[in-house]
Amino acid sequence: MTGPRLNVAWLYADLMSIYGDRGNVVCLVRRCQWRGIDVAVREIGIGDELDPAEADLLFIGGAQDREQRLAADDLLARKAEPVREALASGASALAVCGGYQLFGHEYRDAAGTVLRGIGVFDLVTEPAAPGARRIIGNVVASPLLPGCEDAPNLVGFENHGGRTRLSVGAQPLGRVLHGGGNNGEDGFEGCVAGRAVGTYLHGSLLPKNPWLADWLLQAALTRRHPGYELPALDDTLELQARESAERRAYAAG
Amino acid sequence: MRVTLAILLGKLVGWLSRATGRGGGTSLPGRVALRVCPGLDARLAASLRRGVIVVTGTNGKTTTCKMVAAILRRAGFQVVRNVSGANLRQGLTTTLLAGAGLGGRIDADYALLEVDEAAVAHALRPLRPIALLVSNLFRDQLDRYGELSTTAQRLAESIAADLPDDALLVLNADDPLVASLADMGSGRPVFYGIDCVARGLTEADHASDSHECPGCGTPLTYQIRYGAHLGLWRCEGCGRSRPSPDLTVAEAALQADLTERVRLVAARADGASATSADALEASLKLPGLYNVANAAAAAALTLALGVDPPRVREGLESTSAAFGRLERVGMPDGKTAVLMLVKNPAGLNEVTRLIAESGEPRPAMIALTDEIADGRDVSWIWDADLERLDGRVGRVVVSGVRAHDMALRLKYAGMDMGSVEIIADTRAALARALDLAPAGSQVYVLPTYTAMLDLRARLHAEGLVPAFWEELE
Repeated sequence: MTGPRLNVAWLYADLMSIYGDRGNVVCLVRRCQWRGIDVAVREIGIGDELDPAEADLLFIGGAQDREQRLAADDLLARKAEPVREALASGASALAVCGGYQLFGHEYRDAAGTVLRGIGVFDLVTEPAAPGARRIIGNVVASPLLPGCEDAPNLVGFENHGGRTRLSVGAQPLGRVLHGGGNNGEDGFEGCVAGRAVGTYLHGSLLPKNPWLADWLLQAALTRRHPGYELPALDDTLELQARESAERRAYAAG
Repeated sequence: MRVTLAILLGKLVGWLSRATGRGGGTSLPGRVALRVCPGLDARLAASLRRGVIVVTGTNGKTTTCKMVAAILRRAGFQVVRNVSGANLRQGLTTTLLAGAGLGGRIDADYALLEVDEAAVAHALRPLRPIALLVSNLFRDQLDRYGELSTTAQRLAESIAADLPDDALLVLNADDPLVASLADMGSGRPVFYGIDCVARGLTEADHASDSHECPGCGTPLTYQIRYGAHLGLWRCEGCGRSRPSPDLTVAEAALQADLTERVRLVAARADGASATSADALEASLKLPGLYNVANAAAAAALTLALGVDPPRVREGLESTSAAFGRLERVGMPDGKTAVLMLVKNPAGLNEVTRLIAESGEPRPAMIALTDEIADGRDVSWIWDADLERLDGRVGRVVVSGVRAHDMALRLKYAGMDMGSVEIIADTRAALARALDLAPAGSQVYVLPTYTAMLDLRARLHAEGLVPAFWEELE
């Protein structure tokens, strides 16, 4: 009998990978390998087809403005439908920073360019008010992900100019305890829509927040293997790193 | 009289800016002196017993200049050098002023000037150098100077316009853009290059941008590739190829003690094949192929200036790294700590490649900090290929205020966590790594910037290293 199978689709791995985004993919792959899950990562770039039946877990990272514009056009033109289809048929997704913005309805950058997103999340992103700074620094957020409210606080590092505003009724990922979050004003960080998670946190996000990595994996594996339950891993070091990052956030700012 | 006044004022301004700590000491004296006597720099340059040497290129200028200066000094010459960054005409004049007497003469044989590739015109026009060395042109200058081709174009134009015909033009044959500078018809080209199949890249090349022929634009093909666009290149379009070097690195072998053994072979002027009499062997304290290229550049230049090969070897062998860049610290227990500063993914990759190439797995201490000077964000460690260390490094002690982040990175890089320890204090972590090393051997020490400052200050207090400012010239 072979182990369970999982396909990760990494969108724009070449264009949209910044500030250690790759660490999230490394984390997902290792946590599968340690459990005997047969995991494969496919990088899906500009012009490539995304097969919604194959992709169990979608990942998209952040980028600088120029690369983000290039990716945005392709995402809207070629990937919007397959992404929605994959999510509707049980895939999970993680969108970080620039990818998070493009998974909303619209992103306006500081130069006034308007990028249409693919609307997985019910949110829009605006540029910072003139004179306002980028939001940069350590973040601590208590989880609001339904069913995971008691999980350890999320830790990460944010670095974004855009201010993201959720529509009324959209589900935030967390409540900010330290840092800026979506817009530095309303106290929310990230967004959840079904099995899709969007966030500004890198650092990388998943290695120090292993419960979220496992939530994404569990959701994605259920699609191909109903009833499958992820075996537990020894996360002592992960949790120590999380605690040390949280302490450092309050000490260093 | 005007010359004396200009020199006097320039020196006074320099002394004042240092004494008051107001800064500007690298360019203001030159500016003042040039105002008083507009042709002063040309006059001072002409007073040198031998002349001005200009070294330019994207990477390796400082190391190459260190090597050239060491060689020339061993050959008995007096050399004045500029501070990197003091690049423009005023800065170069400041350097010349420092060596000048009030009579308007510099009591030195050579002025050795390190100049940014975009600022070469400032040096060539007034100073009429006797030699120009161009090491390489990399794409990481895009942000500073616009397109790489623009930089190369401007460099070519200034060589064509202002390099004296009898000046040496020392060029890296392995860099197609640099090699093409010989086509400008100015100067006497001298090529150096590396011929080491064993040191070529074996893994698929990640540099996705294609490298085009500087002559016709056809993508180049490579017989050996050393990284980026450097290697044994050839254009199938117009038939251009890497020039045959006047000085070739025939062998470069990284040794277990992190030195490089190199064999440099000079081509015979009559075209006959080289014999062992034309070879020069040296042991470099600076490892890595990029340092081998710097050594070849320095050797090609100084040999062409007529320096005897034994002095070239001595100069190359005596050159060591700048503070913390690859600094060997002898510890009281007879073991050696090799300090290798890591600041970003590219630098960390360079260091891990060196560790992987050096063969024998040795213990390492890695210190990760997130002070302002380091950058608060430590996510960059996930962009470095630490997977490469698996099986190639001995036990690892991680340290620094973000030690747990680094330990986690190593776990996900596939390392056996039974061989990783966390010790918060960097000095205690170094002591532990040394304990893990066999007698007389070496440990790798990979600190981020503030961790390096902290560790070095403590080693200095123990009398094991000089303070870093004592090493500055």
